[in-house]
Amino acid sequence: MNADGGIAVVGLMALRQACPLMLAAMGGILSERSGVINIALEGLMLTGAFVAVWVGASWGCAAGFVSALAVATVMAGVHLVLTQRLRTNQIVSGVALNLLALHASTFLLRSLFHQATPPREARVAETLPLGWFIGAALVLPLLLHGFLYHTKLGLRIRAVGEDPGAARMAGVNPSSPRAYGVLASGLLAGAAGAFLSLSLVGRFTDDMVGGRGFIALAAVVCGRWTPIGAALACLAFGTLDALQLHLQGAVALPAELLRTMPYVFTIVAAALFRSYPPAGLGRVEDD
Amino acid sequence: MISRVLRFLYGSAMAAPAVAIVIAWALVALTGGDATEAIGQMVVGAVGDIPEAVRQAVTEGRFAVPNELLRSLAKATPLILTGLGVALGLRGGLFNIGAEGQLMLGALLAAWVGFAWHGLPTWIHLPVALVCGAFAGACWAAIAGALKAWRGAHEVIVTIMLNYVAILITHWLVTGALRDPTSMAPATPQVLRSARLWAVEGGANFSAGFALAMAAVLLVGFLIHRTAVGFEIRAVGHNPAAARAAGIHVERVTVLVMAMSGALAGLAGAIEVLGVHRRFLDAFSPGYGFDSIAVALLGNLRPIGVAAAAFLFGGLGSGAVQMEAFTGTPRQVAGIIQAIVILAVAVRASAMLRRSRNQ
Repeated sequence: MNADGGIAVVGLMALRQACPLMLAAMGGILSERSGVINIALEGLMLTGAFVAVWVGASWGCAAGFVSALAVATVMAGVHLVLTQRLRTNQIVSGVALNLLALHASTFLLRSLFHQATPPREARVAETLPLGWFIGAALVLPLLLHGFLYHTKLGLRIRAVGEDPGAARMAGVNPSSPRAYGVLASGLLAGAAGAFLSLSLVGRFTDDMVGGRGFIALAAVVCGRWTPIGAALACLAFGTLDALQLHLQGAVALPAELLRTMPYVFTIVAAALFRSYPPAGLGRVEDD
Repeated sequence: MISRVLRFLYGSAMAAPAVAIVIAWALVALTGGDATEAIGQMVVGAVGDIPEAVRQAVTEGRFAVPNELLRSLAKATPLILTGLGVALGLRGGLFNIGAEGQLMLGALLAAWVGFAWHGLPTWIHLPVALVCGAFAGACWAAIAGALKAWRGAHEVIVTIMLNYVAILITHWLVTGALRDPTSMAPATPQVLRSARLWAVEGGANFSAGFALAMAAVLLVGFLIHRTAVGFEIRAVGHNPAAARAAGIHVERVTVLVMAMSGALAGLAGAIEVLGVHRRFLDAFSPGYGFDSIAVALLGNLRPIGVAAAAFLFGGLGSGAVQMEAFTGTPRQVAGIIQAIVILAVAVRASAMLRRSRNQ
């Protein structure tokens, strides 16, 4: 009885921890399979989380959610224009957008919500149901698998990511599949951020994404840039995270050392399973 | 005429910070702050009252570096060292996102050597503490290097995860085994006098660590451009397969680059402990290790560029603190300016590259 209850608690907790990672990781896959490195996932999530609460506080949750998707997509569009049209280095653009999102969200939190001293937070009146997001996060990898491997646009995205020159020879202009991939990554990372702020906790706090975007990126690599693989990696990470939370207090190990568990396992997984990126990742076709 | 002025502005290195400051000004104004006052306070907070200092130098014949400038240089010190580390890694084709964790472990080991090893003279104790800090950072980063070299584990993932592990380990030790029971906040005992770096009086946090950082700029520059090891690093960074074909031991270079990168971050942590805080405070780093990525990229992976970028970041960072104190404008304005500077410089660099190719 007790063990069953424990498993149910850990299982639910695991899904809650894995949900934002899965949403963001699916975005990361779409961007990176089309050949565009996207280390801005963290910043896109933070932007989504902030905008969701900013709009949601006065216009309601639904409006907040839609605006979070819209603004994060626009921000991904900035990454797209910078890297594809202006040919800026993709890592540099991602780092700068992360920095911008981190500082701009805290700046706006402080100046718009007049929260001078920490802990700073902005609340929303109602939250969105957890189940919607968790359901979406569980179905999405399957849909994405079908999309990437069984549709024309999916094939084009993969082709452009492997070899933009060859794709062009075959009559595919690399810029349009890339635009879909990068914009979709903004949409999904924005949804992941909105889940955190609108659904999980019902408020926005400074830097509330706390590195989940980078962990999603790690899941993409551990899952070998495939939707199912990355989703499994996110679920494994979420399960370990839930397990260590559950074990705190139950075993005689210090909480800090228990908390290192998911990270150490990720390192072990990265060392055990070799993973190769799409061949054209980060490459921009020469004019 | 106007187009010539614009072209001059576009071509000059000051264009990016100027654009960023204009955008920040607009942002502060839009959110209802006194933008001109705020930006002015930030500049004064970054470099101090330079005209007054010059006037004193001319009329009274004594030149005192403004305290604000010293504070900016002190803030730039860890950014220079960690930025050099990240740049060195990227030169060797390795993206070390783990500078933060390497810095924290270096700081903790330096603090422990500094307070627990009694009876050593300064000329032994201080260098040993600094070297131990660098060593801790090097070992931590070398894990990622070794896993990359022999297991093909992506260094970005491993260094991100090692960051979390390092921060948790330092938190555990500083709240437990290494905690000074008399201090309110979780911190180690103070380091002994024999392990302290020289620092100016008056709370500017400016220590001899700055000289060490500048020496590191020269050393890393020499290493990359003038030594056989530096050549091997650049070769591996450029094309590992070609480097291997040319007889370079790619695995060894990979581990070495990561270790050196981590050593620089660890040294930065040691300097913060031995020169600034005099003890290891839990979570003392405001993200130097994360900012160092931006510093390295803004500096275009060149040691001198890294130093210049670190000065800019250090100045903005300490200027923003004064701005917040005097005008109430959130200090995050500095971070927004940094992000826009990085973007503007990157866009300009790629535009120039394309133009030079077209000609």
